[in-house]
Amino acid sequence: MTETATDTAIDVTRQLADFSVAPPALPDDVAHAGRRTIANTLGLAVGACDEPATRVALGAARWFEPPEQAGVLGRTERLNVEWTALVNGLAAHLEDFDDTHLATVIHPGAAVVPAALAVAEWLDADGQRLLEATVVGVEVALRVGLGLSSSHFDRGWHISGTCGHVGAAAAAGLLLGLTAEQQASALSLAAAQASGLLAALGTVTKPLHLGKAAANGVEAALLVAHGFTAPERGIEGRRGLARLASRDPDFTTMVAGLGQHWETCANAFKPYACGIVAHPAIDAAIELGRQVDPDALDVIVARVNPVVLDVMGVRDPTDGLQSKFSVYHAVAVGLHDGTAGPAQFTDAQATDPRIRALRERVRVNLDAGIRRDEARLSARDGAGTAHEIHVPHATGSADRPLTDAQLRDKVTSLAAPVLGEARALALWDCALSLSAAVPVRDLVAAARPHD
Amino acid sequence: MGQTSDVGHRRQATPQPARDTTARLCAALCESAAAPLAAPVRRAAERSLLNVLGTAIGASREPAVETVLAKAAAHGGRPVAPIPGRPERADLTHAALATGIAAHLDDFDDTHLATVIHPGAATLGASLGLAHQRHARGRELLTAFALGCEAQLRVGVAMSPSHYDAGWHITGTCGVVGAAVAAGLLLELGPEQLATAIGIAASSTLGIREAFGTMTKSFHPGKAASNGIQAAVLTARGFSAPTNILDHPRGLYHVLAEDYDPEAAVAGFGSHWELLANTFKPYPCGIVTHPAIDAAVALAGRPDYPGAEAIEDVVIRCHPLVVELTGNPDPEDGLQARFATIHGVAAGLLRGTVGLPEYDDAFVRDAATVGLRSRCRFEVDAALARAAAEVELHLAGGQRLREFVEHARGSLERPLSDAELEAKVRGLVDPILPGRTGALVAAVDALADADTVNELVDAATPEGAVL
Repeated sequence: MTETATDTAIDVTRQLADFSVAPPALPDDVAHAGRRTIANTLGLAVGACDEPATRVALGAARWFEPPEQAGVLGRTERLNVEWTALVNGLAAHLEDFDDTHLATVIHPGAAVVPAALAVAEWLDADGQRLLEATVVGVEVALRVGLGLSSSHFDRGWHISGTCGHVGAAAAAGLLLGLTAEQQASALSLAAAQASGLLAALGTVTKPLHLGKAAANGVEAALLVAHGFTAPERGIEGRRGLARLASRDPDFTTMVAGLGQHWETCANAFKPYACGIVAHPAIDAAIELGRQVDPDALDVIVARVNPVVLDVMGVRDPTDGLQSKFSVYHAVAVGLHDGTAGPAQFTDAQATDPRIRALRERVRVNLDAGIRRDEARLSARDGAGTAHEIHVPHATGSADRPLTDAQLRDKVTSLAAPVLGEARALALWDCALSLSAAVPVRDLVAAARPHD
Repeated sequence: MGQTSDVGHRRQATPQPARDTTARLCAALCESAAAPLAAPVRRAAERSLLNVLGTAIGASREPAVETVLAKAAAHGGRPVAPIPGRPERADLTHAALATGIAAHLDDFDDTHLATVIHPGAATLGASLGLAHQRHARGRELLTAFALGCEAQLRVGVAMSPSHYDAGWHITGTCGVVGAAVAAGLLLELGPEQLATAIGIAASSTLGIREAFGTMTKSFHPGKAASNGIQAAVLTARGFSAPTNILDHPRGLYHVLAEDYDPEAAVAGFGSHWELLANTFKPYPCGIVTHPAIDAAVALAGRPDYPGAEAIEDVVIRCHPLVVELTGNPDPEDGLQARFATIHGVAAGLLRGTVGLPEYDDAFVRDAATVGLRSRCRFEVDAALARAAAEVELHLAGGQRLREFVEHARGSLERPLSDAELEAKVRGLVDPILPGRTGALVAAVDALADADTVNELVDAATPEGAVL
């Protein structure tokens, strides 16, 4: 890597600290993006609250007998702030169904929101503080991620885990009222332990990265609040995170226009519970399924960008986790079920005879002329009628973000099995109306079963 | 991913997942844990344990430790785990954090010279509280400690020197592996589970050299200990992780080292022990300063030594690297003084011994110290070995006294004797737990045959500590 005077002249850690302890008033669109990020994360964590990995982590936490300081989402248990952040962060990323910042592939919500939520609940903060903490945490995570550039991810770092640490610390530090100098220490202490290896893909250790990021960020801010010291330049220093974990860090991008340009607004929400590259084809499949009985279709041909088979090429998945990496399965459930939520990627669904029969008839034609957020689906029904669906921009892409109504449906469908329809809707309403008038404890209560 | 184009020169041109050294390492670790340690390994483990207990006790009242325990009091779980040198307890992960930080805080702990890993700190943090809480036998703690050290040293060897050279703090990054092994063995994990625990732990590896000079440096082995316990407990309860994290194409070696040799972690396991190459510093300062300090201490102990006031000039002959790394002639505080050969020499001549008190800010700034330092100068000699030094005193009457040191005390060639190690530990323990050194040494020596670890814990914590 090259080292230039310009690089070291930018005090990235300190600038991110200055920004994140005293952010400017949030513009309306930024605040709205923040509320949507919170709602999406809450829905996912509630929805995954009884998954085996969540229960194992909860059992491990209780073995240490932590004090009850914050509530686990979707459940009745209360743990200390760090364990609560860990369990909620793990759950929020478990289905790989959370938010995605497309330029960096960071899922910021699962690290930042659980960290902010646990600390805000413990402090009895109001909803405006939670919103500010979430936005600065997401912004810091995304800025650092943009600056680490693609060489970071390509090397094998799980960028959501690494950058999530720094974002979670920023959010916790704001809530704890750290000074800018302390906040720089908190960011550096988080940067010193920014971790997550892509070897963990396909195991529950991948979502654990997000839980650890949330918990470690909280711990870093708490330790600094108690007097711990850390380097001034943990991010940009000569032996700091960026130079160790990236070949070509871009420090300008990390700080340029902070507080004026908001990456938070580019945080997108997945409509479907599988790899994002299959989403345009799923959109097309759902539309086709509305027009015609899928069982009447002969061969279904999907024309997609070549990246699709790089990550979604499993031809005949044998369990739920594998099915999340099968475009064939994803198109089949879109056709058959008209949706593609977590319920479409279970072990039962992956081995369902009707779904298997349908996905055997799915063909994939790779076409470099098709954009990543685009797909064409063509099929012929029993009567010989040809059907053709073109999706120019997938739902949830930058050009066609999820509407509030779509995101509401996603969040409530995740939360309803745990909370019931009415309370799931109330949780959405509470998150979307977060303000100084709403205590964070009310939001947490809305995301948990009644005692 | 483009793993040939972007990662420089590898000893292994392409990763070979079938090699799976993680599984082989874990099988070897579990096999070793089932049998008694061979006598030299046991002795090396006992000496490493005694040394790191000494440094942990010595720094147990420092602000970094107080900070962690204040935070533990506010957020920690049930306080079951002892912390060397402290009357109070903390939950297992906070106790591990505090212990690992204290053990490394003064940079006075053990050093495996080939990797620059300080293996004791993270391993002690991960194993002492857990062994106590699990009512483990003494032998189980000693074995877990030995194998926790061995595992991280071997993983470190596999990544050396490119990993540390790049800027990672190897004591943290590899410490987390050793901590997971020590904790996993105490939780009686089998080979596959141990690989899972390493998988979780390695995915939460930490340590950047940017942190040198701040509390965060010693946070690395402390947090490594905490992460290791957490990984082992998650595994014991059924969590899953990649079981081939070490040489996975996106695993620890590939992501954190430009150049690595996976076989080094497993080759000759059981017959060759990196733990036997663990060394103990006699002086709490940068290791390249040690030969000259040795010479100064030797001069001060000679019958014809007239006292520091009779010294007109001090000439320190050493390899140029010593000056490059520790050439500061006039350090301003204790931290700077640790990396100043001239200060160490002056301290040895003034006090005849060089321990923690000789790195107090007050002593570093004392007029007599400053005065003698100003009379010291270097003469570099590239023909001298890095481990060697000569100190020559020019006395008032024109007389000259000279001492040459070929290998510093505490080096691999001239390890601290048991008596020297005990003297070092006494210097660390006495200010915190007066008169307790003998009991601590006895408890470590008896550990392999002890039914519990209680005697060791009693010796390492103040009387009246809540059991």
